[in-house]
Amino acid sequence: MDKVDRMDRMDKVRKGLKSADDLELPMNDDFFDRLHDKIMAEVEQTEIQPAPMLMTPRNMLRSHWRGWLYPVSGVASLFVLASLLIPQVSKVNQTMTRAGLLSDGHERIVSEALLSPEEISQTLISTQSESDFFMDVARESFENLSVDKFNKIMGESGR
Amino acid sequence: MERDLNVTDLELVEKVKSGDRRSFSELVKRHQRSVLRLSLRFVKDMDTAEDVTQEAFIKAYEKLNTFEGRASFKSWLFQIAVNTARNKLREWKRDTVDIDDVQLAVDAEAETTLVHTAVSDILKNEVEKLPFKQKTALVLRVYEDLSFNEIADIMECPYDTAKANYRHALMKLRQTFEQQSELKNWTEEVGGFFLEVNQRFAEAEG
Repeated sequence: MDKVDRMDRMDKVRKGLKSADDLELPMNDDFFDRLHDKIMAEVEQTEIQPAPMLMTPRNMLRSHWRGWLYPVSGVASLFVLASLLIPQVSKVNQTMTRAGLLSDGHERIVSEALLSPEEISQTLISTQSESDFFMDVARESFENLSVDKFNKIMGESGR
Repeated sequence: MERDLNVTDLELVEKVKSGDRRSFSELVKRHQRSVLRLSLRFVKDMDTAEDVTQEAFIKAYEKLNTFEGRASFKSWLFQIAVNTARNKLREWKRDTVDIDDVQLAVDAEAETTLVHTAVSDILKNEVEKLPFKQKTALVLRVYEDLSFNEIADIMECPYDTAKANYRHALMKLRQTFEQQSELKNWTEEVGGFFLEVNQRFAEAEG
């Protein structure tokens, strides 16, 4: 059974219930004049309470749940998701770096320079200043390079 | 004071807030019938319904500064009236007997006088047995022709909850009709709307 048909039938039931309604109100104006006067007599004795300075949390929740509940829960979900994902991402990143799968290219350039120092002046990239590059090579050289190789590099770049 | 029908409820509320007490008189004239009718559906007694109506208007006047105009004044007033009626019913329940006993009494009475009872009385009894929230949703939707947005405002609940309460009320009515074989037979004799309700419910949900 499709939704439209069901809604149509529900609507018929609603109309049927209404048509069977026999609630009777006093129709004469006197009754309502009297009721009105009674209410207004009470109103004359009553003062409007001042507006609350602060809404109670319950009232605030009631009044604004439509306005803020969805955005707030959306943002909160994003934060939760991010806090769960960030440690995982950094863990994967570390693993990949350790395995040599991820690199910013810096180590590769240095190692290439160590392997073929004569070509380095042609392959020196623009993102790194020359002095930085020499510092990196110098640092590596203390660990891995022979004196000959080191001198060769320095001589090559110094030209 | 002459009635100014061109002024909106919201404008009248602002006037009252700024100290014009007589503008509240127009609000009372506009809404007293519907508030009385709504109250009568819950408390079933004209004198009590009058009390509820009066109390609802006084509370509305006192709390007028908390009315922010998000919903219509009528919805806000209905919300107060429904809550006031519910409090009255709770007072009765506390002062008299348990609500289950009341329902049993209604059942027994309904059984003996079933044949002579008008269809509307049976319906009224069945509606009466519904949980308060379902009954409120049904009454506001069926008898007051309010939208689910307005019903949600009055019941202070989400739109979907208001709708679900209304649907559950209709489903419960259907179940009751199906369970009462005498009622079924009788409605077949009488025909008309009651038979229609029975059939429609069976078809719609079956």
